[in-house]
Amino acid sequence: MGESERVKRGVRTRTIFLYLFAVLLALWVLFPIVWTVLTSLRIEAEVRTVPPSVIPTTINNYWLLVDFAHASKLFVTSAIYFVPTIAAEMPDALRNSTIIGAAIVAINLTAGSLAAYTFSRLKFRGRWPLFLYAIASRLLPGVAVIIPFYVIIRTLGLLDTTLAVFLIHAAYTLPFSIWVLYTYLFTVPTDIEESALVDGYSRFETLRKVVFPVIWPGLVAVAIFSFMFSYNEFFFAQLLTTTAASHTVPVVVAGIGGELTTPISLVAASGIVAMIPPVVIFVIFRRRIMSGLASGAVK
Amino acid sequence: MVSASRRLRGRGALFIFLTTLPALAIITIFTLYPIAFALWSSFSFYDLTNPEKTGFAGITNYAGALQTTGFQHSVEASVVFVIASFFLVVGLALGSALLLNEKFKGVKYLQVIVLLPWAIPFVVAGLMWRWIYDSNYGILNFALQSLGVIPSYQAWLTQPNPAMALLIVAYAWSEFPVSTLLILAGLQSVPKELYEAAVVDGARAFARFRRVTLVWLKPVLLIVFVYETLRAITVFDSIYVITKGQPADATAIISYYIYRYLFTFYDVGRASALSIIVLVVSGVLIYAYFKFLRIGSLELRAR
Repeated sequence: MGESERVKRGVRTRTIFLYLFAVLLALWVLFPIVWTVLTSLRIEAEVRTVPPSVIPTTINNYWLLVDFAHASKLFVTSAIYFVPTIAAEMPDALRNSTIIGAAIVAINLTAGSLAAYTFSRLKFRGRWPLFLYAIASRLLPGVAVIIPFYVIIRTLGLLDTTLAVFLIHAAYTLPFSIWVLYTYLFTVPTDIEESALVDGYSRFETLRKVVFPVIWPGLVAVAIFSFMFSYNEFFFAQLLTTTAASHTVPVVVAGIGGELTTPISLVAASGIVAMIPPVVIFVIFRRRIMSGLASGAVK
Repeated sequence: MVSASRRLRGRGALFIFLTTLPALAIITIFTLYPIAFALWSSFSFYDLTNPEKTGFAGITNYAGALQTTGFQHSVEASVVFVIASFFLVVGLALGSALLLNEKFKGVKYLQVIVLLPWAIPFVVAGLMWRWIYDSNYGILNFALQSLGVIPSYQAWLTQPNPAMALLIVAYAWSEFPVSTLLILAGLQSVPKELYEAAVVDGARAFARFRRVTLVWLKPVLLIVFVYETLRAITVFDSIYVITKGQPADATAIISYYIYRYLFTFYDVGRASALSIIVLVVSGVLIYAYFKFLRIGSLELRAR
């Protein structure tokens, strides 16, 4: 057997293993999602069978989540399983979560990046302790602070508002964003900024025209991480929200799934609906996310 | 001259103030008071079911907490959960990142697919897994019975060890994408010359991995280790929807245990003492990571 023959065979074995692992990874990630989709497309009696069957039969579960008032009159008849009224809040929850998420992205990109810039570029007394203080606050375990958080929010008169959820998510995401951007700013040369300042640009102009265009990969990373944190967060949202006015998606889905009498097909449908906003964001910004992260924003 | 430089400095101070104030104000409101409150209440008699008894409690809350059998059980469960899920998550993330860093057809799509669990809130994913594990109609039971592994359907979540193992699997599914992303970003920043140099030196694949990839990845791995340890210690959502700490508290990991303790007994002082213990343990672990991992990577960072 010639040398080139052996190399070719080695390459082929390697390719086979690559694809084997790729298929295994895809199966592991996709199986629960696909199974949930299949469960959501069936009526309850068909879901609870041995062996499990998978042919889609209905989209009623989605109809319920989109237009509860109308749909529940039409086909909620089962005496054994009852549809919890919190299912009616799904459209509100999607709106609340998206608004809070967008506001969280905005505050991290503005307040977060401004603070990171100042900490990394300006020398002033107390800079280092302030910076450490800003990022170390993230270490607090949630359970240690639920009572004081509740007291603060109640004192501010913000119980059951999206603003309360926003404030807490901001307090939890800002430290991480400041840290990431602070690290990222060190990889960016300062010459252009300095000449812009010498040319008479104000600091804010320099930021807008010179710094931001250069650090956009870091900003993308910060935006996506903070949105995901906010969209995912359940612990505090559960504590501070009580009605559709401020319920977020995880709270409503947990509410639907929390009752053992809820049809599992409806729980599945609510889970699928819950993933739509972030998945849409991933698909739209896929390229930016990947290149943003790959260019060292998270080093 | 004097007034000009003074004005510049004055504007610098205003700039510092304006740029850091919004972030620091939000962080401060939700940091200083909560820490002060947790510390103060952990050393006070503060039991909502016994409001007459107030005042300084010394270490009563800490001593009482440490002696509770429920707390000891929870610590044991937490150690198992943190170690097992840490290795599973980091192993999955490292393996996936290495795979996604290779060039093959479809890798771009796989990179997006792997991110999907990140887009799904933990409570949603937890409910998905709970249905897969279902004792009467779960696909897990069906698959295992079809394969002849089990003779009949099992109520997995009512048995301590399977419940813990399945909880860890569900948690790892949701948790591994973020670390995969972090490691992948690190891998893609490894300079090609380093590999070429290693190849010239005659290093085989595994040696290349150990000497080039792992060394270069050290800073990223440090972040991943710290992040995943903290996440595992503070796990809550998955337990809330999958096991509720059952059976018999076998899966009541520390944060969930404290949460339930607080809302069962309403003893704020005792619950605060428990949280402070968790905070201190997390701090010690993070310090240890930095101590052990930082030193070797310093020269690389100074490139």
